[in-house]
Amino acid sequence: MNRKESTIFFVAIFIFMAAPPSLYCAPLPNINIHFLSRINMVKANQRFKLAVKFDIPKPWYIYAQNSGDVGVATQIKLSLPDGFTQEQIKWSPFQKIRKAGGLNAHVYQHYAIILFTLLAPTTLSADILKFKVGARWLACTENQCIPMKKQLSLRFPRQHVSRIQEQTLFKKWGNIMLPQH
Amino acid sequence: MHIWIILLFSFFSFSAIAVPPNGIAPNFTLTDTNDQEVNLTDFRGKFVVLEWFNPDCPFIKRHYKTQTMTQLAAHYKRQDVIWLAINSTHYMKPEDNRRWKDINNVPYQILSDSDGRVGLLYQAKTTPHMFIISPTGKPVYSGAIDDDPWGEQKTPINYVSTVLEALIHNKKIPYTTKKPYGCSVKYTPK
Repeated sequence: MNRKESTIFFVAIFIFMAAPPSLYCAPLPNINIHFLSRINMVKANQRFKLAVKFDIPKPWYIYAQNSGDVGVATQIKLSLPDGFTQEQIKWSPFQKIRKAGGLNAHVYQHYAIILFTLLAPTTLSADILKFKVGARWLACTENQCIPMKKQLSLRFPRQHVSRIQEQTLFKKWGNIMLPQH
Repeated sequence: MHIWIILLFSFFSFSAIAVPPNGIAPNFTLTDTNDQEVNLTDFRGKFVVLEWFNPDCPFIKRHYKTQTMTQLAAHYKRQDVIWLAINSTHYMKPEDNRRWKDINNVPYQILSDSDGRVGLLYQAKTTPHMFIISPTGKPVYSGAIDDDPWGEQKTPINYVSTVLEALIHNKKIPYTTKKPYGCSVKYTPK
């Protein structure tokens, strides 16, 4: 590096360091979303559960259905095959955080789970049943927010979460979420 | 004794609501991008729209990209409606507002409130968070700009426009508040 190049380099470093936080290139949140099932296939008139799970790394959080004073509620839209009905939807408990200015935020940190209870129709006409979920959420840290979205699908009976995967995932948090009968 | 109880009650019920629904909107003096002082009472006799704003917020970026605010402000300027944007972001300076105003051809004043004093006075929660003040100085609407937080509706209902139309045509306003959405106002951390 000659003298001119090194001057340019140090000036560039200085400009970068002096820039306000808003001009830094912030890393995008690595929030993973999973669409999960604990069944391999769907039978007629069967009651079963599907779940959506968000993995939310620190320092990010997403908003609950009731987002509190600020933010935007996480939106989950489930599309079902003909004849299927959604009987229940349960959201895992959210955390309350207090932001500067005394603003209350209802958020999910680390993870969020949304559990759907579905009922199959008395007759199943299609061989392959496709369940789709569309999710929109606002990922935030203390200083920034990024609106995000994702669509996922599950097909039965040919494509499904493997039994092993299901057991490890559901054993961890499924019992907490499942309604007690 | 009774009078003291009533006065005490009135004080606490007033202080619990920063912008009293039947009272007068709190006055403020802030500086704009030209370092000119702007006082809310300067606009008495006109409808005033206050827009809480932060150029770093993606909801603000979207609304300025689609010109939601600038088009509404231009439209209602013909009806003598005053539009003011207020930036209560603790880390922003008047230069940031000036840059935003220039880049986005913002036709109205952007006021700097980096200490968050006015934002807290109005209990501004999000960016955007909209307030409409009547010509007599009464707050008549507080809340979201529209019913489309994700910006995906073909024909969103613009609450500010709906309320202004009702007010201008002397009709009953359909709502006085709607839950605001967006980024939290970035007040100075304690």
